[in-house]
Amino acid sequence: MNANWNTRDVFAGALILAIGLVFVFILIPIGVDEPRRVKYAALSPSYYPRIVAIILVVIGAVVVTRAVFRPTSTEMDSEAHPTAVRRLSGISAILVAFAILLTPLGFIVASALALFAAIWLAGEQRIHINAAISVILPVLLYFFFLKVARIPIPLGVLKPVLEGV
Amino acid sequence: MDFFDVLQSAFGLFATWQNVLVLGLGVVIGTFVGAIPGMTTPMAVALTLPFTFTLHPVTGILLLLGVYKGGIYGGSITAILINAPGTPAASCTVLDGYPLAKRGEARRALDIALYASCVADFISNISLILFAGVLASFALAFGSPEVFTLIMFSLTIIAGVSGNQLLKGLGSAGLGLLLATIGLDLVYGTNRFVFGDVNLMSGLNFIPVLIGLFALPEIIAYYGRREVAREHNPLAGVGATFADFRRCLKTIIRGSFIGVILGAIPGIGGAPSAFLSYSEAKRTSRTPEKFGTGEIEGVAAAESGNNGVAGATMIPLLALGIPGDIITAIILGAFMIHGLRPGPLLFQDSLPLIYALFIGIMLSSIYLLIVGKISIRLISRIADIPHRLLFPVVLVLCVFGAYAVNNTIFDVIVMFIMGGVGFAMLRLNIPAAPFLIAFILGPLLEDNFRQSLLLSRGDWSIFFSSAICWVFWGLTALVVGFTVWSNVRRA
Repeated sequence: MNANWNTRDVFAGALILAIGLVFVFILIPIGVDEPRRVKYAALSPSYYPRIVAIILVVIGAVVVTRAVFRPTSTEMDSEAHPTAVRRLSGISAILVAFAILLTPLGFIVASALALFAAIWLAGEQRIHINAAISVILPVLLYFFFLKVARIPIPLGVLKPVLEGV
Repeated sequence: MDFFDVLQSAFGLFATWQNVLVLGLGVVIGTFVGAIPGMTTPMAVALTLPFTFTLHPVTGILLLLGVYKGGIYGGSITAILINAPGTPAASCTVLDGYPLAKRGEARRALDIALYASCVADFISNISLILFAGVLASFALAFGSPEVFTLIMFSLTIIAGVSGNQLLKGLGSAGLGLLLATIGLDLVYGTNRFVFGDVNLMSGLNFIPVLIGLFALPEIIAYYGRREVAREHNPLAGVGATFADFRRCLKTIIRGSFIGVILGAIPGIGGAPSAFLSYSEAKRTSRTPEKFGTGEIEGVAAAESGNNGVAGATMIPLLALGIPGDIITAIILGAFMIHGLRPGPLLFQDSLPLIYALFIGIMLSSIYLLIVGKISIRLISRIADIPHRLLFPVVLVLCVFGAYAVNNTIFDVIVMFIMGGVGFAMLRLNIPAAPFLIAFILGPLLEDNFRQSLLLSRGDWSIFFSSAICWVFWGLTALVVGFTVWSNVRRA
């Protein structure tokens, strides 16, 4: 995967610029509740975020301008994995599924499934080692948080089995 | 309360088996994680943080300090054995440590690295104890305008943590400042960026943001990288002799003081200190040509410069409440989670707690020596743990850790979103450290900004109304000017 500094800087600057503009023109007007009476303009709840957002717009514009007008070198990403795109898509899918399944399945089952999939995707061929880690780690963490830190972790589908243990 | 009463209370606070155990555990965890290439010390501190919620503040913070100190030393182990510094600050140790290991003197290099680390850490801790209180008593006179200008100055550390991406670092800090404004307004109590979601009313919690920014992107990035097989030198040869130590002692002490001075200045950190100590050692050596080819003094210089910052970075944190680097920024967050606000008032209100931390910090140097001596053989194999097992395990730790903050799935979702943001930032070379520092300092900056303007009835000249304000503006201008100048020169 070849990476170009110039392109990266253009994207980075454009992103900073866009976020600043979205705050100035959309999020601050609709997302900040102004009190009926404000003693001084500087005390308004939108004053400080607006200053920061305007600074962001300026920084973003400067980053883009520099990236466009200044010659830059190309950086080769020599350590990229040959199937990087497939693996990155895979881990992204695992993370999204993990976030979605946490509530219905509970932490232990969702973590075990996500862990198994992530270890498999990373290239671990030995199923028994993968399965052992995937089951033991979430169970150990569950009991650590419950018994040592006294933080109850949602059990989801395992509630009938583990509740009260 | 006189000094001896305070000391007695501090010993009472510290002398529990939990504190003694947890501090040692922290050093072990930090050393192990620091020794794994690809795992960073901020990541280790971030992942340890959720485990401290239910602990006493002293115990929790000592655990994090142990991880911090262990992590700095641990980075040198892989630098020497496999030419892969576990932490950026250990990159200087590679210069002479790896050639020593290659010619079969790994044990000697590791021993000197350990001794230099422990001595430097000890000197740095002493400087913390001597100077933090003095600085804090000076800061007691600060009002809102002074605190605002102090935070503006402390935000200049962004230049230090942005590397050669200063502008993008500033953009990253701006994003952090904006994210910190989510929640109820500090003055009027009205909603800001809440959009009717109750979870957002108290703002975003710092831990999911931290874990999302510092741990998840590394995990995602791992899947895009090839695992590089590195030549692993055996833990061979005999250990360092007393003659070796004596020969390096001057270098170690000089490096320690370089570390203390640079560490106390926000934003500089361990790597520049290690390189400055190394270049000073080389400059004053009778055999400078040996540096870079496996000179034991080179290892001592790098490690003493690197570890000398560890205690000193705590000086501005404890005395003024401003973090010197990303790890102390995380520790600042940990203080806040435990309901404590580092700064002059902490010295006034909770002096026994500060002294209890000092006692623990002093003990950490001894732990470092013990852990380094006993477990070096085991730690040296740590780098062999396959990343294909390690990173998925860290992913599950992230999820449990983020949940444990407030027992809400919302925090886990925030962590996942911040992980995506962090990965995008990684790909676009936008440094994440300024984001987090600004996110932590943001509320304090805004609070003092608006309080000052409330006092002055909207008149901005209040920010220039005292000599202290002028000093901080001057320092800020100096750092900004120097940074811009060095960037222009580099370009």
